[in-house]
Amino acid sequence: MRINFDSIKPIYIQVAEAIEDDIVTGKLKEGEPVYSQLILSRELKINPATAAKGINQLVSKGVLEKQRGLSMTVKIGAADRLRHEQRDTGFRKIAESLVDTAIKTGITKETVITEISQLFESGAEKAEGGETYE
Amino acid sequence: MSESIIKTKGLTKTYGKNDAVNDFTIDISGERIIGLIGRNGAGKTTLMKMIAGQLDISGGELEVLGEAPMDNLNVLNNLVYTYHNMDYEKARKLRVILESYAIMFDDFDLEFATKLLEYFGLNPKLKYKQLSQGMASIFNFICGISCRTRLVMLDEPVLGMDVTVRRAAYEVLLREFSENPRLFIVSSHLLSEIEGILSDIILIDNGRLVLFDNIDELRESAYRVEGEKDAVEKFTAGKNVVYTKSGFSAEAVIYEPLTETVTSEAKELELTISTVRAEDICIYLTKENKEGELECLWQKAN
Repeated sequence: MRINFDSIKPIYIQVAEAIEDDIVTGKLKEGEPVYSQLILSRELKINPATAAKGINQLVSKGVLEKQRGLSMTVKIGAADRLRHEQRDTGFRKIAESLVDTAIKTGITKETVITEISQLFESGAEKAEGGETYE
Repeated sequence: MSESIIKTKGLTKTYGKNDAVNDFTIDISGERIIGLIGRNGAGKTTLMKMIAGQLDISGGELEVLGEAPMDNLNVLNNLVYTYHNMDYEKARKLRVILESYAIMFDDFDLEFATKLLEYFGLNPKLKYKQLSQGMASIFNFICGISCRTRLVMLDEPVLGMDVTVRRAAYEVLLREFSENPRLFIVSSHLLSEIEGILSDIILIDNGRLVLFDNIDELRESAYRVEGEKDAVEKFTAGKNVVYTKSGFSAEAVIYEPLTETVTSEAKELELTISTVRAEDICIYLTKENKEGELECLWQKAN
C-alpha cells in the first residue's frame, strides 16, 4: 500500500482505494478488522484525520462497517461487490481510453479487435499453463 | 465544538505605515497539524510572534487559550514557538540549551529531546554557533516538538535541511502527533512536501486571511479546464477564474467546486477537466496575474 503524493487524486481517496484493493485481493478478509486510523497514518505517513476520512468513505459506501465496541471490519460480501465495481468502472475506463487512442492514431476497429483477441488467447494459454502446473 | 486555542478578531499589526497583519479573524481549536502557508512577507512570522506573545498587537483582539498572550505566564507556559534564528547564547552547548528548555517548560521532555538529537546525528556537546543553517533548523525543530505544550508553532522548521532530513523531520512530527496529539502550526513554503501530514491549511497573503480550510476540501475547491481558446473563454464567463494561460491550448483554473452541471457544460465545449494541486490553488489565490510580464524582463528600453 502506497500513497502517491504527487498525484492529483486526494490522499483520502487513495487511502480508500488502497483498502479496496486489499479487500479485492483477499489481503483483508470479510468480517475481519481493517487497518486502524493510527496504523494507516504511520504506515502511509499521512495525517490521521486524512486516514479516518478514507475509512469513512468506505463506511458510507457500505464496504466497511463499524462493530459495536469493536473496530471497523470488512462487510460480508464487500469483496464481490468491489470486484464487480472494478470490473464495470475500471474496465469501462480502460476500454474508453483504448478506443480514444485508437481513434487518435488511426487504428481501425478491426485491428483493435484482432489485437485484443490475440492478447486474450495468449492470456488464456498462460492461465491454463498455470493451472496444469498446479 | 472543542475549546478555542487561538481566537482572533480583526487582529492587526502595523509597522510604520505597513500592515504586516491586517484585520485577521480566525478561530482555531482541536488537536491537529495545520500548515500556515503564504509567500515571503505575507505575515506568517508576525502572526506567530503575536500568538506567542513576543510581539505587541496594534489592533483587534487576540486570545490564546482564552487569554491575551503578552507577558502572560498562564499562556506562555502552554505554547512554544521556534524559528530559524532563535537568539540563544551562541556559545552555549546544545545540551545546555535543552536543559534550559526543561527549566522553562514543565511539559518539556528532555529524554525525548536527547534521543532526537541522537536520531538526527547532532552531538549534544556542539555549540549552537557551530551549527550550519540546516543543523540549527533540526535543533530548533527538536526543541519545539519536545515541548508537549497545548500549542506548538514551528516557523519554517525545515529551512536549510536537505531532503533526507526534511523527510525524517516530517515523519517524526507525524509520529509525535499521533503519540501526543496537540495543536501544531507549521509555516512553510513547501506545501507540496508537507501536505500529506497536514489536516488543515491557513493561507495568508498581504497580512490577510485568504482561507482556513481542510486540506481535502481545499483540493476540491477548484478545477482546471483546457481546450480551444474560444471555448475556454465561453466557459469561464461569469465564473470565478483565478488563473488563465494561453499557449498551445488555453487553460483556466476556476475557484469553485466542480458540479455535474459544470462537467456537462465543459464536455459540450470539448474542454478537458482536471483537478488542481493544493499548492497550485494557493499560488493562484495569492499572486497577481503576471502573465506577459516575464517577457518584459528581456526587452530593452530604447
